[in-house]
Amino acid sequence: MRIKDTLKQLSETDGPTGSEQGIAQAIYRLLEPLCDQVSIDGHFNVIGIRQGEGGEPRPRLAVMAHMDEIFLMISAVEGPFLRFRPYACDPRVLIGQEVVVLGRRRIRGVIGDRPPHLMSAQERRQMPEPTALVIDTGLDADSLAQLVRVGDYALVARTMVELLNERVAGKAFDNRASVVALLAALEELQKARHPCDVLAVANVGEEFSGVGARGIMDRLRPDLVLVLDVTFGQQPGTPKAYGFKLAGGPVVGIGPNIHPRLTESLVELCDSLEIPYALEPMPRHSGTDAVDTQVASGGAPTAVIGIPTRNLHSPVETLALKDVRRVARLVAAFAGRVDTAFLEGLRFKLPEEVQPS
Amino acid sequence: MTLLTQGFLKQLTELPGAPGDEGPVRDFLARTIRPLVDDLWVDHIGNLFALRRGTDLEPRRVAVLAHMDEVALFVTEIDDQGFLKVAASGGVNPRTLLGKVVQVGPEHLPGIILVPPDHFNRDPEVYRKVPEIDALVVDIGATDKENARARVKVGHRILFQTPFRLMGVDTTLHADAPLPIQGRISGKAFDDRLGCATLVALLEQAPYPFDLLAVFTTQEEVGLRGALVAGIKAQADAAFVLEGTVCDDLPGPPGEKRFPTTRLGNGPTLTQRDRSWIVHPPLLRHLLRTAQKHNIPYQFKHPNVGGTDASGFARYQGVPVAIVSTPCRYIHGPVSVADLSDFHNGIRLLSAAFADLPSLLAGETSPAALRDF
Repeated sequence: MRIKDTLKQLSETDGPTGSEQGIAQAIYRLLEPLCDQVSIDGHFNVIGIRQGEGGEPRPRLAVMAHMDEIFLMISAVEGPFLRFRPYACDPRVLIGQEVVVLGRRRIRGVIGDRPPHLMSAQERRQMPEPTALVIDTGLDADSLAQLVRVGDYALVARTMVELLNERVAGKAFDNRASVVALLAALEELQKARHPCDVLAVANVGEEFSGVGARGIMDRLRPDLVLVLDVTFGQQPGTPKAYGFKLAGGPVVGIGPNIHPRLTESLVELCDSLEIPYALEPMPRHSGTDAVDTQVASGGAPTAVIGIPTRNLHSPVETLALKDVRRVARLVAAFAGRVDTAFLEGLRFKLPEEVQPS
Repeated sequence: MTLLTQGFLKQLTELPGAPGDEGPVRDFLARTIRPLVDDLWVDHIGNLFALRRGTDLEPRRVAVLAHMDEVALFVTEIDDQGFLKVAASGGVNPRTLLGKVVQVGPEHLPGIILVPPDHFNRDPEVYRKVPEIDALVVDIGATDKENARARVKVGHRILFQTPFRLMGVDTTLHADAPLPIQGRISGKAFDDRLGCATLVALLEQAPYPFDLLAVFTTQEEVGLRGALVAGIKAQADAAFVLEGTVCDDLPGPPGEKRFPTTRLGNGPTLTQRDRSWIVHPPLLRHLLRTAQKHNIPYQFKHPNVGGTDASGFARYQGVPVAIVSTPCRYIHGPVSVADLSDFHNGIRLLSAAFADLPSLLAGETSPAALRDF
């Protein structure tokens, strides 16, 4: 699998939160050759299972990467124009973007602005509210009314851009980059042995309600959960402690949302694999699906691995392909280590004198 | 066989033509029009001139101008992390810049205008502030300063990277097919590549009774300097300036009533007066009468909006000038939208107006004629 090509394919596939059928189908096809069994559930979560080699009962390791993406939703058809609401999209990037409206047909459009020639000084200084913006499809009012209705989705149309030094920019790298890392990890596992069952999950719903990750735990019954998601890349305007160097390797979460032994274990693995890493302080929670999985799984030990990404929640999320590859290696190596003894080692130990009988 | 194919407009609008760096556009236009003209030359400010001789025995000379440049950014500094700092070269709309894909320098390196994630800045006062252009940074993927400097120099131009498209349900481009008669198009640099394309179409329909001097000008967006120079040398009896002009026929915030200066689809735009020039009344009247006679739609732009090469070209020689524009939404940003019927009607209006222009230019104005105004 070429990481760059797969990321391009998945980035350019439509998959807004709540309408993930297209991206689910694409990921299903990619998972099939790498798993013993793949299924899509009613929410369109895609679940691949690779059976481990250990004896029964084998630990069950869920590796989760959400596949939904931020989106716009049509709020009114106003003559030849469409009003919309952004969901999780940074509204400051929308003016001047090409978009695609997922109506009865897939319709291209643009979000424009008043010409600067006519703006007041006040207008020039302040970004307009997203409610003041419109999508221009070039269609007349009648055609538009037949093709688009309130509640239809729209996405920024963006093909992947290749920058210098194996860095790329594009839409929905949050979190298709992690889906690609998951696929690449499974590919590594084809050549390796892993005692545990690996449940590879591309889930829905992260950018809105978390329904995907939360709702699936009951059926998966994982003993361990690894959540893969993008995290902030170093760039002007991002606090130093929370902006991670591109090409700086996996970012391992540390904090109450993460089982402490898992953080240690991932860091040890990075050292033994000789890949650089960074620790992301998560003093409250991780801001990822791990918040839900930690609880909904009944407290299964959870860890978060991030890929440093610039311009998060914009159509030009930017990352180094090397980091995707490294996360894949780390996940594969971790899966190779998880056995019954490892799981046993995660129990919080009570003092000797109060051991239960 | 027409030159105005879909592929022609795609190439013309996608080429980079920053102010003072219009080479790629000039070369492409020169190659395109060479077979249509009697002579062709370039001056030291980069203007491209092309002469098509007229059919009259002692032909007058009419200059027709369209500018080749587009608003751009300009590399001012490469910082320690390998990011590019920029300044504006022309009146680029600062509200459109965050998170856009651009092309940098002669290698057309792809770059991204960074947008710091909103997660770290929830203060609406700060957050909704339009960033100053000198606070923006462009990321070309460089790992550090040296890495960036190997590919980019101070002074390199930065342009939007936007594909040309037919809009609507079927957006498939056929490079060799003529432009559709109606429908809408989107892309970059419609201001003023649509003017350039109009001028190419007019050359294709030549000859006219007069000598047509086509002038593809430079540096319009930074002070009309190409047109100023051309106006001094051109020795024209009259001039027409072709533009892609502002169009603001969008609905505003819900409930707000607006009075747009032009509307898409209402025909080519005539100017009576803009911020810098008053159009020559007889030329304007000639355009109006031509439109009425041939039943060509037209619209007037609000007065006092924008400025064009007209004031540059006429400044030193006082040549009578008229302005005909294609209205374009969202100009001075990454992606504009125009209506093809406006574009085609502009060409129709001009070529019809050119057919009986010399009678207008011949002789002095009699006091009796003044009563017609």
